Amino acid sequence: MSDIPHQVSDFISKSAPFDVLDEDKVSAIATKTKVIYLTPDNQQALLAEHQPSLFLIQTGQFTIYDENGAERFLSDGDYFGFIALMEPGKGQIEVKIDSPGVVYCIPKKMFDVALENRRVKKFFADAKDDVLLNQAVEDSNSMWLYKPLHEQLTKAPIQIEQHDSIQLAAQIMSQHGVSSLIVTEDDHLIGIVTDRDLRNRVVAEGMDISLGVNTIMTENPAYVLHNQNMFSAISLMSEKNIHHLPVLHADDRSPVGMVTTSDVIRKQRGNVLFMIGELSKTANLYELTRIAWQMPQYFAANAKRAGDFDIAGKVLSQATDIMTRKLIAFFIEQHGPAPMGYCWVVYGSQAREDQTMGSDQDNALLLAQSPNEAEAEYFKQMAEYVCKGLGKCGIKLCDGNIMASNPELRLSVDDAVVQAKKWVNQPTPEAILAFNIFLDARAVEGDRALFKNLQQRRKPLFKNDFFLAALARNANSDAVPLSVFNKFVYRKHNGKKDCINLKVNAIALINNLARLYSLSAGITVPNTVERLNILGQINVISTEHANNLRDIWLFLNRLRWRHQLRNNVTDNIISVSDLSSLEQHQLKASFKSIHRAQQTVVMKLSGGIA
Amino acid sequence: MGTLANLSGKIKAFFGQHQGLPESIANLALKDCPWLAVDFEFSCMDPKTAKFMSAGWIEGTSMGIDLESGYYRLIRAKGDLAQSPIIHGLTARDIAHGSHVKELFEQIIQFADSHVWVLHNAQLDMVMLKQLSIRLGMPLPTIVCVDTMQLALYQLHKTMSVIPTGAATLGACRERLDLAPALAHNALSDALATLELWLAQMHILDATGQTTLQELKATGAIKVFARPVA
Repeated sequence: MSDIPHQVSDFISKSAPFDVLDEDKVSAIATKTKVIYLTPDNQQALLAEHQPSLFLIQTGQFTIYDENGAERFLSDGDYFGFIALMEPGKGQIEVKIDSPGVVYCIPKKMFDVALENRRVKKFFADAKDDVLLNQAVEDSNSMWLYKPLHEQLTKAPIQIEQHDSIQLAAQIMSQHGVSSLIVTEDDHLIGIVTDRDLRNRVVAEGMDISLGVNTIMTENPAYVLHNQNMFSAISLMSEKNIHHLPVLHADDRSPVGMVTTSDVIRKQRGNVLFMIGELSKTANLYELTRIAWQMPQYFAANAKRAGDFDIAGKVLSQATDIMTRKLIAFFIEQHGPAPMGYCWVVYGSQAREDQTMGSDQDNALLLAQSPNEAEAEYFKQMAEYVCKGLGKCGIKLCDGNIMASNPELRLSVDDAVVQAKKWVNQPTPEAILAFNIFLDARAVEGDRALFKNLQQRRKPLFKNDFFLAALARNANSDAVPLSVFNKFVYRKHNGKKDCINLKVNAIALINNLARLYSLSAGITVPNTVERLNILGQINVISTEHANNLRDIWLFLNRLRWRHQLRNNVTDNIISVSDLSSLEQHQLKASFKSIHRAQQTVVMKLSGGIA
Repeated sequence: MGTLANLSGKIKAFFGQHQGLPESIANLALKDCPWLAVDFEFSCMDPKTAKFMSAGWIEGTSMGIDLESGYYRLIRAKGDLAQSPIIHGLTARDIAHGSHVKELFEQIIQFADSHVWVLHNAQLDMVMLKQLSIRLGMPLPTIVCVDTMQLALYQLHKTMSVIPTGAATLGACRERLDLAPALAHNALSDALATLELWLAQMHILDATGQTTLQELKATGAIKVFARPVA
């Protein structure tokens, strides 16, 4: 039996996907692994000696050329040689050593052992096909109601053995303040007793309270398993018209808790979708701000899983929409109806429905025609009231003054079209920066026909080749934070050295790409995920490419929401050491994909001049 | 300085003066050498009172380090363990359950003929091993060592006249050659860290690996520990 140096098992078990393997497997793999120091002088001999192996780089920088001549720049934590292992006869590589370093050689036999794990297999299959590893994206449809029950149960099960007396049952129930008990035989569920049973079967019948509780229980009650979700529980309770539902552990069927109708009602109060209902019910600014200020806590308490983060931006944007509508309604109550048709338009993250806790408000008023002085005054007051009101609700005022309270953003449809023409004719870099945000727009309140009219009239302008080329060049001015050798390029933030701005250096880049292709195709929906779906469907970009970008967007969005909620911050600057090893790999793969997509868009839309 | 020279003189006397390399391996090229990286942990740094706490070693060649050859043992000990167990993360109970030091000695000297040993700062470890052989009444065969610390000092002296404190520690040497930080204070971990360092140092010294052990002697990094010539 050999001994494994700590740093070896540490390194292997921290390198995704081996982080999913248990200690024994990692030790077994480590024992058969060879550690080499790969240099330009010895590479021929060493690779001949150790191939076929999975090569895991610990230090050093290497360029790998595949059989098609494509090159990959690899460094710490990267792998090579796996294609030859998975498809014998394929995956011939040439290695150029840019900087020598320590490489672990995991022989084929042990690689095959590791592949017995489904997740390890998927990791390398995906890496082989160069797609984002998105096992996390698979559960994208999960919503608030789909949280497993064991995450929601707050109390240990209150239970009683079947031969204990009815009186003891009543005593336990009042002691714990519960309205039902699980009745067990050898710790296994055989029935339940509720308040109602005590009333109907004991008191009303004048039954002897020293009898066993099994004489009054409901036998073989319906139950759910701990890994099922609240949605299943509610469905079952409605279907059977019951108010108490025991929860059993899926493995050994031991009781782990009880779901009751009052739990469900309480849960709904803790549901952010429930917040939307509450916001809608408010009758004045005070009530509105009081509910709005609770949003961050509701999010922090309820958004825990990847699927939650996917809809969090949407929920927050919906909530902001409702706040806006409410504020406009309050204003009209006080100042009378608007003197002409208007439409409240939102831009940027609210329009895309990907707001986060740190998003500020971007909005404007679109008017049916140029207002006279009195009309202008009315809309000025409305805009100021709404923008300030949103500020009071916790939606920050816009630093760039992109708000309806800015007189330049209260234009008639005709003037807005003139403005769009100006952008298209003079797309200087500064101008692009300034108006990029207006290209993601959505109507929230008022006469939506005005907004539609504007969109229709702007659409042909935005398809202008020179304009798109300028936008494409601009879209490439920000790069993903990866060095040529595939290393993260970090910035310092809050005392941490390994930080990356997910918004500026990744999410915004995908937003830019989706926007560009959408403009070129005349798609007016502002949401990035929807844009990518449509672009893939109508083949502006390949479905595969569109889906990959969408999955990357969702992945990055999850990372930033989790960062904001866990750390109670409003920035988008994450520390890479806070991510799991798999997430670090996914992040790198995402950046690479974004970089490639940026290069493609320049080729397509600006004639290759970046 | 005087005491150091004095100590160095004592050590030489202890092992015998200026031992040459055994003829059989003097002309062996580095790329063909079998290596055994060795590290011991002691209860303190004073050779007079120090006791073996643990031992670790691992084999390799220029073709790679064989992780299957990794060996790590705690040494059973009695009495006062000074401060060191805290540093090494061992408890008195761990040590009481370890191997007997004689077992360690018997196992490691089997590598004396077959491998060139690689140590980071060989002096203390080898003095301790020699004393152990005397205490056990067992002969110590000739052992050829490469001292990665001496080689690092040799390389540092080429570029600077005063070597900063701490510049020759295992961690500092590895960092200079862009090797990953390794956990200190575990004999096997340090042995592996030393062997990786040696592979990297060899690359700098002579990328082709044609240099012989005899030629390497000029750097002061080759040491031969043998019985004094009686």
